[in-house]
Amino acid sequence: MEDNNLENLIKEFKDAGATEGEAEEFAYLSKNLSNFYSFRRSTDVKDRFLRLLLKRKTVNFSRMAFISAMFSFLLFLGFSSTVFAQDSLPGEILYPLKRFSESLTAKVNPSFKSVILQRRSEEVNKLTSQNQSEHIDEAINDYEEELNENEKISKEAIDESKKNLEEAGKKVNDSELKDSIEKMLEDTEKREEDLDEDVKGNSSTKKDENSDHNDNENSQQDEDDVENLLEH
Amino acid sequence: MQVSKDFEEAYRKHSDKIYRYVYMNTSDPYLSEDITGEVFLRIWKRWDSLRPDFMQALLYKTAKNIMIDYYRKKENGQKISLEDSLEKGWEPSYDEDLIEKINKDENLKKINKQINLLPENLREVVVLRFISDLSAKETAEILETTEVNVRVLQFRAIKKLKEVIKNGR
Repeated sequence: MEDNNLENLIKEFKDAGATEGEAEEFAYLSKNLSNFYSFRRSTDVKDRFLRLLLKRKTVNFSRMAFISAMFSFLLFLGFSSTVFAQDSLPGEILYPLKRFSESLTAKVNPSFKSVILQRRSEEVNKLTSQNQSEHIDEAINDYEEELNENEKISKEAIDESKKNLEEAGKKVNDSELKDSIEKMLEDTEKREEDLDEDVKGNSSTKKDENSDHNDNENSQQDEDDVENLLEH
Repeated sequence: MQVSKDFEEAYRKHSDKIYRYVYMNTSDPYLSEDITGEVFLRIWKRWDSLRPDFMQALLYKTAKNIMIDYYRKKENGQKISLEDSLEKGWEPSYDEDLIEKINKDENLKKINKQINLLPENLREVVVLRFISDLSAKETAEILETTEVNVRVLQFRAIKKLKEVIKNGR
């Protein structure tokens, strides 16, 4: 990472208040740390993981094809099963059907993702009412993922989600869960601010920072004492 | 397929960094591989809808959430998502040579211990900035703070680490 070359690091430390000597010393320590932890897993391990995962996706497509056929059958029989599924919660039998129908709808109508976010917040709210602690964590993670991954979320969805989360927060007694819901609310409010800025035209111009950085391939560890990290 | 290729590229580029990040927090090379796998499993499930500029931050946040989840549920004796994946036939693969090397490296264990003596906010910055080799901007995104704050924290962190190392003599 270009940012982390010695010159930049020295400048950063000086800007933060270090003396000239300190800045240099700290920059070298930082670089030495980076080199110390340069170990990498083997290509075999990575290849194996990718083979398993990508093969799994192929298997999932078959599963998806099966569920699609089932879904069509349910539609043929009548709306009722699908409508009923929309009220289902994590852990219930029809919940995967609900999620599948959502993903299909979102593909055709991307703005539906706002509704999905709202539903995740409703699920958190309902699960707290039912005191279903084993599924609440899953619901919280799902909400956070939807919040972070979707580029465009409607103001209405944000407002409804906040309302649901506030209600949920009032119902829980468990302090950890309360903290998790608080965090969700904060994240939602932050996302709301980001969206407001986007609307005002202050687009966040984050570039894709997936550029190569200086991963040092040196796998030979210094046999001397750790304090050598402080040496140049 | 291009989608698989893009994911593969991302995995090869980032998985070692995630592994190191998890290892710094768990000191368990086997668990680190399990969690790294779980991170990318989750990312892959959502690959189609990911914002590319957010991916790196999401990787680290997902790793952190899984670790928090893991330790909380283990304490309560609950099943964790990792165990779920394993039960569904997910078979992690371990780099035994690397793990042996890590386990035998007393210097690495020592520096791990010293870094883990830092307060959490300073330790996070050290791990992300200098061990994961992320930029100040990337670190700020993950920690949900500003670049300026990251630079201040990194200065305090390295200063403190230097004291810890010296006191370790």
